[in-house]
Amino acid sequence: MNPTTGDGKKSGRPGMEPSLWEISRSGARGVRPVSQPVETTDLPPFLCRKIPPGLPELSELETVRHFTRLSQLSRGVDTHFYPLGSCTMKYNPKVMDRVPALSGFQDLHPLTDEEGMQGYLEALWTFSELLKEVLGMDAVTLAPAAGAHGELTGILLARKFFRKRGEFARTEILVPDSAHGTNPASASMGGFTVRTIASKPSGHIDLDALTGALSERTALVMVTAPSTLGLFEEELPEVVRRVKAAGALLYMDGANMNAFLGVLRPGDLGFDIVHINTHKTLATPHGGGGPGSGPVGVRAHLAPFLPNPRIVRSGKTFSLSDLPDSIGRIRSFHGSSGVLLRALAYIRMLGQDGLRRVSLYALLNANYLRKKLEGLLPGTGEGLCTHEFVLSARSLEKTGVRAVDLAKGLLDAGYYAPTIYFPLIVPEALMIEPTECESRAMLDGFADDLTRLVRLAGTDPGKLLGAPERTPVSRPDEVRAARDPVLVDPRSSGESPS
Amino acid sequence: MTETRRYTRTHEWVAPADVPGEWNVGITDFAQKEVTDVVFVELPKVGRTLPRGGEAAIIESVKAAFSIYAPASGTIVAVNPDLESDPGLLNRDPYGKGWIFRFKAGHPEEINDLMDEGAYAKFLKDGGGHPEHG
Amino acid sequence: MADFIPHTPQETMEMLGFLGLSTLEDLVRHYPTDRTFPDLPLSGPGMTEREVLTELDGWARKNTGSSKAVVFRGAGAYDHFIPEAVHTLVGRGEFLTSYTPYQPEASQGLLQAIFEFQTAISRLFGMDLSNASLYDGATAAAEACLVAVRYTGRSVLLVSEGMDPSVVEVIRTYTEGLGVRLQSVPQVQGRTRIEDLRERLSSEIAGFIGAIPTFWGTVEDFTGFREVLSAEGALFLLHANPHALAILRTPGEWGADLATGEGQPLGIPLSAGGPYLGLMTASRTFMRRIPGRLVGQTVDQDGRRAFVLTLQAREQHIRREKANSNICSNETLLSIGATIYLSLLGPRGLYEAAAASHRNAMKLREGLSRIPGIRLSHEGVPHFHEFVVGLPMDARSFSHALLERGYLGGLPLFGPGEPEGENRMLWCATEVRTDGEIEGVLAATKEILAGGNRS
Repeated sequence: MNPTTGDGKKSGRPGMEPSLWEISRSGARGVRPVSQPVETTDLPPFLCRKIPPGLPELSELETVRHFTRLSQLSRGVDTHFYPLGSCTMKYNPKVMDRVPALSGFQDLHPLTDEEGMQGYLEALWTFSELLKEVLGMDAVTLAPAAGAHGELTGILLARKFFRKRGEFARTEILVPDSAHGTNPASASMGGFTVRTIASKPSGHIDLDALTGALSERTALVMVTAPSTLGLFEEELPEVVRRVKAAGALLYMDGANMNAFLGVLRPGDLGFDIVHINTHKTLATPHGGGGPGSGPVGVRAHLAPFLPNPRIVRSGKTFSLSDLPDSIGRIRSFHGSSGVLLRALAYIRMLGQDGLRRVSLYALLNANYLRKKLEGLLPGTGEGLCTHEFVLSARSLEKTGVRAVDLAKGLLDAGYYAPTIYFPLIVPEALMIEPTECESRAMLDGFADDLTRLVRLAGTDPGKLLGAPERTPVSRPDEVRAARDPVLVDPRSSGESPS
Repeated sequence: MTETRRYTRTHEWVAPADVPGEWNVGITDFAQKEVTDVVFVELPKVGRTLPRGGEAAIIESVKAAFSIYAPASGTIVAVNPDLESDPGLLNRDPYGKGWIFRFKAGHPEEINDLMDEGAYAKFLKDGGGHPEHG
Repeated sequence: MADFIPHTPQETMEMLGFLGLSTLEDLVRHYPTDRTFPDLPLSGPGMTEREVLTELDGWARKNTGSSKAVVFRGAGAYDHFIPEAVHTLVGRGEFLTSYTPYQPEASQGLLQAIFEFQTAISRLFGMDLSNASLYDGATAAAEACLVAVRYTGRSVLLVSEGMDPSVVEVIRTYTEGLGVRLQSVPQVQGRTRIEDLRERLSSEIAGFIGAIPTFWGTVEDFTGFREVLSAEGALFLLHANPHALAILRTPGEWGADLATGEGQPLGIPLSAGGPYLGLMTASRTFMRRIPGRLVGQTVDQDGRRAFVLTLQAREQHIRREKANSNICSNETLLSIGATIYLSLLGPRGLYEAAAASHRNAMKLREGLSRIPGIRLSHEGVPHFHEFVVGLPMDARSFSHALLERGYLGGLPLFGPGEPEGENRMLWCATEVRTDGEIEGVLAATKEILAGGNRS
């Protein structure tokens, strides 16, 4: 057994896997790409690499075992309940995996002549028509590669909109302090100044603070609906009125759209721009952190500025065309079709009634679990929550147990952990989102386990501080990782010249 | 030493350096505890001129980043090179080897406006807030 | 109709009862709006698995430019061989259905796979380090430009004419709001001359970005670029095809500060343009300045090797408006696919695939050059697996005619900014093209040209 990776038997933990470079053997071959290899090229030596690329050398079976074992050292929705708030870790239907793999999609070159990609263009055009309907918007772009990319797109749209109207003074974006970090970061990337709006103690937008910040300099107000605390902004109609009166645009961060699907449309609520995350709401897999996609819907006054290229229908034929007032391209090609086609299949399978049921059951599960946990830890908001809720572990302060320790305890109990320390405005936050896909039995079991862990904080806090005990490793030394970062396997060969 | 040290509401300390007119700046013991283990310090460029309260440096822990503000206006004349290889100095010796930068004060009277030891202790006791996230 | 909801009607009633509600609709009665439950006629009544696959397959079949055609087109997306094991392994549910590894103890395998990706890519590029991926090659190049702008505090970027025009457009979209100006550095015969670079340098220049190989398939000589740029305090950025780096001199060997690329050629299907894989590598100086996730190796409390997301204080969830990018999700699953691809092929296999691609492309170029009316561009200049030719007829009509004969030929080049005028075509061949296919497309070309200009 490898001395650095596997003392599995001694510790009771599953053993780690050696690195690719530890099992690499000089001269070993895996898959051969060509039957008649060429050994040299006609390129002049000074234009060729001198340092070998330092890639591992393995048989095909060794590679297959290595990555299979790595997968077994990780948890996904397919293996564990994943109550990661704000991320909507719902079931990813297996049939959807077949869709991008269909011959005709998977092997389609993005720069194919339009007449050779009519089916693809029609499928994506159909999907954007569906999204227009679901979001209550006049136009949709499918180009953004992720939610944050959608935010940047929306912000650049707002910039272009005001420049076109000659309103150059609108240089500020207002963001509530409960927002995802991507909101202010996207605003900065778009060249705007960010002003943070403090929330009320209830977690709702503070109307007075908003009104005080709104001015002729405001370009955009970004609102997460429902909010990151799992609350519906009680004064949203008034927020909309005041933002519009100030001449600014209203952006909806649709990361939490799983609470609205088929139930409520951002366009009907008065938003000008919205992005959604297909890897949240529309059940495309998260892939360990991507690929996602972040379609953006806009009202008609912003449509001329959408990213190029646009899919256009003319009779029965579809084409790609560039709009003169567009913000430009935001990626190399049209969109993450491998993700978008999955999402299209999801909407088609669910239909209108299925979409509604998704949101209503997401709300049912969240409210059920919240009530099961009532009294255990203080939470935010009164009455019903939306699709997720936030608890604070601050009441455990005197035991020395923090939110992170409860999260690690949940890993030992056989779950993935909730989102912790977000939103920033709730101290010791645990953000729990069960999604519509979990059964009552799972929610009951989770509630029992979290209850047991909170009690354990009072009786045997050391047990939680030492958790997790059943995972491949105990808590990693993050300070060491960040002080002297090791970002490349030192065992890999190939020297870097600098 | 402690009698001449002054403190800001954002938890920097400032103390006279060996050369008259020059001052050393660091973060207080309270601040280093709040920050937890410092993993990186982004130091200012020597020669940079800063207004009072301007962002001079950034210190990072594993899960947070904090801005360090100039306690008074002036020009950076030196930075602590040891922090590059050993940022933990900020935790181990915040008032000594963990100093961050030295500056030549543009308006030395601004330093007189800062809190002394007793005032800072009272400020903390009254719940003097947390270091601001950067 | 599917909905993937596990509750029985009985359970639903009991759960509602537990909440003191009688219907599901009661869950949204407190929403301050009367616009709930809109009509969604387009969404339809729902479908079974079989029905939805039939509908989608109908669209897929209409794409006659896909596997129904033989691909001789590249221009940023390449038809390379992908071993079956790549598809099988990236489909593992633990990879596919997990999220960004915020809980390292429950995600060690995923973290290690990303760490191995970072290692393989930094070695391939000859650079000190790589991040865990960005959206695609173009956004990676744009993010590298933003690093250069922030690091130097300057606002003009020099962009080689050898860069893919669509990548340059993305750089423009990303930098425009920040007041950054792009300035083109011309190419002569497919090469950037150092005197043209030197002429444009000033204390305003944040950096220069060039390509390996260029969009036109030529391989540039960057000798002296690093020194000339450093002397002016500007950064040296290179945008490379990672597959080509099996053979070509690396960004690290040219002395680049930051190097980016499109990872699609590393085992990722064409998929009509996405999702693809943005590569971002850097010298250690820029370790804390680059965007995106980074996985680091450390130890756990008992001294076992362990992996974690690290240097997070750069990122949006901590630094918010001061973060060095807004990126959150990246392309992790594809980065794992690329690592599996590189592991399966190994250094020899990758070299063989790249060398065979180049050989096939040169064979095609040679064959095209013998067809009357076709002119080679950039003669005498080294190429890598792509090249430009001039046609005696309209390039789009020619491409259409080829497609009718079952070939996705070279990319028609048109519009401003294209070198040497109209009717040019950018051809590519990869290792999967056979001699028979090359002969076939040459015969089709002759036939079309013999038929005269049909446009």
